[in-house]
Amino acid sequence: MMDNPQDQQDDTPQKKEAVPGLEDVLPLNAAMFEADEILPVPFSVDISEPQHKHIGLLERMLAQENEGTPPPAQPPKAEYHPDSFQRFLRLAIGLILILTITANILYSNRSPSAALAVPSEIVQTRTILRGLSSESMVLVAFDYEPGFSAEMEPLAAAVFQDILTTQAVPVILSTSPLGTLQAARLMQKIQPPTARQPIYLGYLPGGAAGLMSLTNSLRNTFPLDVDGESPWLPDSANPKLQAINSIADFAAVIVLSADAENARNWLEQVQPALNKTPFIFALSAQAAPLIRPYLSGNQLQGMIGGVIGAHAYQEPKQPNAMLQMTWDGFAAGVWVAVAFIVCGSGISLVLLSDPARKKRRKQRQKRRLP
Amino acid sequence: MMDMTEIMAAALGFLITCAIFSYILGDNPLLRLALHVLAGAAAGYTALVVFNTTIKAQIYEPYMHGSTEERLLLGVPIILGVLLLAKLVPPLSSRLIWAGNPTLAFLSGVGAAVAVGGAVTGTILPQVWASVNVLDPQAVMETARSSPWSLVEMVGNAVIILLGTLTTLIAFHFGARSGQTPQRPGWINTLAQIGQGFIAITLGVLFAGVLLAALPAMIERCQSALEFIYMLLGLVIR
Amino acid sequence: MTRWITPISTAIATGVGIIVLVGYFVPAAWILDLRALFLRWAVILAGLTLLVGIFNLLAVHGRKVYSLNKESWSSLALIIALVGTAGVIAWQQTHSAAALWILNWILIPAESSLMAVLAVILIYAAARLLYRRKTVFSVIFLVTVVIVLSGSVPFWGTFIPFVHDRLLGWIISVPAMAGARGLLLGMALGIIATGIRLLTGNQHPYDG
Repeated sequence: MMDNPQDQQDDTPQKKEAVPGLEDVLPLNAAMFEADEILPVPFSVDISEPQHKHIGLLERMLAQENEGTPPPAQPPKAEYHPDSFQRFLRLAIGLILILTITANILYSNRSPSAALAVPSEIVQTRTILRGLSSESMVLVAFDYEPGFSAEMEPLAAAVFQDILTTQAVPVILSTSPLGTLQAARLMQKIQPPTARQPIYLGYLPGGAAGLMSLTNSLRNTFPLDVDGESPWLPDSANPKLQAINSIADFAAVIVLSADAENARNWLEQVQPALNKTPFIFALSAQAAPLIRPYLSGNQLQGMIGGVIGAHAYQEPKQPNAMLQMTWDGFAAGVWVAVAFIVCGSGISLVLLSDPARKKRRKQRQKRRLP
Repeated sequence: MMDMTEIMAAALGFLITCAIFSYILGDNPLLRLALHVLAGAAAGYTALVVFNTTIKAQIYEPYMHGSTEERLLLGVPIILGVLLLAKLVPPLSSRLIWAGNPTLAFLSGVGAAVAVGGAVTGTILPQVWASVNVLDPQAVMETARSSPWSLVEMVGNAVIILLGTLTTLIAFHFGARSGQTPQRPGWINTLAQIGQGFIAITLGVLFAGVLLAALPAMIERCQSALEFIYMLLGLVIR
Repeated sequence: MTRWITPISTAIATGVGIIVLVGYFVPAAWILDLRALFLRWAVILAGLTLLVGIFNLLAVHGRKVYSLNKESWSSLALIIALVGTAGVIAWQQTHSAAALWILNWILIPAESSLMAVLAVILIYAAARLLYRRKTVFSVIFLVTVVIVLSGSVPFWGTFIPFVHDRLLGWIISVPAMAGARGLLLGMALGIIATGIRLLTGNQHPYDG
């Protein structure tokens, strides 16, 4: 399976790692440390060769500690400080990306772009959300950090436009302290004056335990809303909440999340208690691939992933203004990234095929190894 | 006319953006300042939100308006919470740091149980079931009736999914008998190599996903910077 | 002197943990009630722990300011931002215009900028990957990245035909999904192993 002659000669740790990309995380044996000298073992036990090498390494480390003089400083240049070329490369990537995106913002004609292929999970999401009625109460979790607002807001706007159009009442909570504030920011941007006011339950601490508590006892977990009032009383602002006793009483549960771990907590703690209530995820593009197995296992009824998912979700005749503003710049940015990755990989292959350069690189690598 | 406070706010946002973008050139004091301000503002807001949702809504209100039984039951988290302070207050923390351990033990016990229960009922059982039922007999029959090629594609995909799931799990398998170096038999090693290929594809998709999640932030920052520049020039965008 | 606290802590972790865990599989009313109570306490304690953490952050940076070293000024900035934000939100409301101002002009610019810088760093890392590590897996990884990126957006208004409508969907829903399912199962097994070690008292992360 592996690979080219260079790697066969190259006995560096990456050949022995368990997971590609995670160097030294799970080293298979100690031979990689190349211990020069194996100290004698003073008692008789059955010790393998690699264990000998571990012992040798440990003894040498302890000896260095006892000497009281710090080990000679490794030349940090190559390991920790990017050289000027690397800095230049990063700057070039940053500038080209910024200039391309800025040019697209300034000169984009914002004409309707080519239609995206719409996956079945997005069609399902549309059907569920457009089937809500003015009697429906929908639980919406805003579980993303402010850093993801640029990606998640257009996605949330696409979902909320349908909820607000059907006059369903969104009940908002978050497992992030800043989540419901982000919901308020979104509402300020997109809510038409005639739409129903959302109910803000507030922040839910405790991660997975908090979500389990929400599943067990919704009313006890949120005795007060963000304004400090009890939302469950008959004379509260929204008496319809009286009919909600458990999480399964909502017409749908929608989670807006940028984190696969958080989405997994919702699936593990809340989904089993939902019975027939539709469960929908609107996820960041970084979380969607890890949550897809749950979709194919029918634990989710709908899913939208990232800006591209939001673009596929919107109707071509009624484009989402937030998405239209960024789509051309987004596409341009992605193509700049592709160009850099393809060119960088091509140049790397050419450079590595030069035997003299390969030899120099190998020597450098040897010097870097302990 | 532009409101002065609006221009100041936009200037603050622009300065923070420039300070953090300077990381492309390397670590610097401006970057550290911006990060400390971010951490401070986020922690300040979080403190107030947590105070409202925990101390006010979950302790103060039930204690003031709840029944005697509710008040008694609230005593336990209050005592455990007070014990936690022993880890914080300097004169106490040097001698009584252990006093907060039962609180952490309580949280660890609940956290571990919730994680184990959730993993079994929410991931392992449904996902193993989904892997076993990767070929739904009814769907197979329907596909076979419509087109034989679709059936081949369906069965092929099912085999790849099953193979990928199993070999990815095998890629993490390491076993060792007492006194031996951890090593895998040859056939497991071959399957693990196939699994590493599937992991590489999954990580590739995840990497592309992170990039697709980060690019909108770059666009948003560029838009915001342009708006600020227009503001300064006294122009109105669009 | 403090050795007696460890068995007590272990008994709390094990006892509480087992009742919460049994509640997943045995729907007896008293177990479910007890579990609901423990979970409610856990939510309260998680909030209090977060508050203690924030006070600790304040104390650590307060000491740094007091010691007047090189990092004092940035610690001072953190304290001013923390106290200022908490003061403004206490005076107004958590959903007030002031809170939205802090979100719009401090938190979103800073966190979005970090994400934007991440985009640059990721492109840089991917472009140099083959130079750093020329293996079959690196090639598979990069080919997947390029297919997913180029299949996701149009080039000059047009999607690349086969890549967008066939290949991208297939990669995401077949091999990548299979790998993700394997990773999820592996993670779940790891969580179970670690959780059981803690619940049986073989591991004490709370000692300290």
